[in-house]
Amino acid sequence: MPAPRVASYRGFVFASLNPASEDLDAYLGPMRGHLDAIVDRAPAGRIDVRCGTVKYGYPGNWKLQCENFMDHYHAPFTHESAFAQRFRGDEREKVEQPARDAIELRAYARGHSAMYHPKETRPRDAVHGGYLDALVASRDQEAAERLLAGDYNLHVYPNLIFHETSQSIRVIRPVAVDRTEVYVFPYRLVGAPDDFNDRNVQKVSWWASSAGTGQPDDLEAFVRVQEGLQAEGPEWVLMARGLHHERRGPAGERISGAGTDETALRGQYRRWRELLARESA
Amino acid sequence: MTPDVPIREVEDFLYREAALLDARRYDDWLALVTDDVRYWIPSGSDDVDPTRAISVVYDDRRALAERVARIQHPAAHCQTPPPRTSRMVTNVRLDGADLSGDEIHVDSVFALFASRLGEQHTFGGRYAHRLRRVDGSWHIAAKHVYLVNNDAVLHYNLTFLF
Repeated sequence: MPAPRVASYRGFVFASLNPASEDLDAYLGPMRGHLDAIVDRAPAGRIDVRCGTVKYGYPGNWKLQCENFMDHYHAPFTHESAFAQRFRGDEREKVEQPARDAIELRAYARGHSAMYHPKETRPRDAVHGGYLDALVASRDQEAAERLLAGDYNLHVYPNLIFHETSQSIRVIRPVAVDRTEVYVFPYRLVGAPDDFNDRNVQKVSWWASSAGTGQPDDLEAFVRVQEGLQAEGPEWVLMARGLHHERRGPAGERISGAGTDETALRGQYRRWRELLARESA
Repeated sequence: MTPDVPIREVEDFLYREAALLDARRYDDWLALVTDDVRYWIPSGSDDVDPTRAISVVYDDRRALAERVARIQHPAAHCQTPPPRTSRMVTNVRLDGADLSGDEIHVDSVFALFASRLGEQHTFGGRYAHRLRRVDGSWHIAAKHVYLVNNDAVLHYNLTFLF
């Protein structure tokens, strides 16, 4: 069955089964600027997603993976056993997490969100230097530094996730209320040296598969949360962290200056409620 | 060239390795790998380049040491409780050797049962070991694990060692 709506932005192809869905530009809104930044990090101005896929499935709801990617509250204790390691021997800054208070969250309309780590956390070694040289050669020093000032996690609602730090994309496939499949795709920055891209691809292997160093602890949490949500007593899950100090940005987005806030999660559920209300209308 | 290595000796090594892994004696297992080891579980197909494409696992010695430390860390939630495993290693074939007979390629087939929190899962595939004789005993210089379903959606907890 051909999808009734297909459109692309910067090479990313989006499809919708809803013939009445709005235009892609309007749908993406401010996320277009974020996608630009993903692609612009490649010296040649394009990324190459042909680096294979790892797929994992878990007995839990798809929204748990969305919440997970836009939350920094869980990281220090969910990933305590991973952060206790050195990340494949790198003497990298990642070992000391950037101050959690410095992570900025933006919840846009339509459920999209962005988490900004104000400091790029990849090791600044000779391999990284080779990439920096290639980027500066393709632009200029100032533009390169602006592009690399920090790293984003992006969530294009409902089911597309970008992790800029590791150069990877995830596509979430909701299969049932308690069954989700996730496809992980690393990508290469075209024009960056091979050793730089190779290292990043290998780090996605190290972290993100269901045999990895990080992902399985998140998956364990999803499964336990799914089980906990079956409890009949408490009817509500409180997601109020940071509600008191959100401010509004230029596109009307809600902004929080703390990665531990649930600003992005509230944005996801606001959209969820909006869509479900439309369905039932 | 037929290497002068008794197959029984090689089988015995693989069985002992399997027993160590099923007993989660990971530090003892780590003592059996060489400094230049590669432990690889490809994703998508058996025929990909792990330096350029994503894998389920692609570890060098340092990454393996971290993997083993991490799954034994008290805060490794995916290991609370740890999956219990039991595996069969069979169809062992000597698939080549260097001239000295100190480095050999071994092919085998495995079936692995994993149980955790009341659920049992089965995994199967092929092992390709490169074994090297160091100070008179065999060590693992490479271990490739070709899961028969490495193109499928994988189970959410593969944090034991294959």
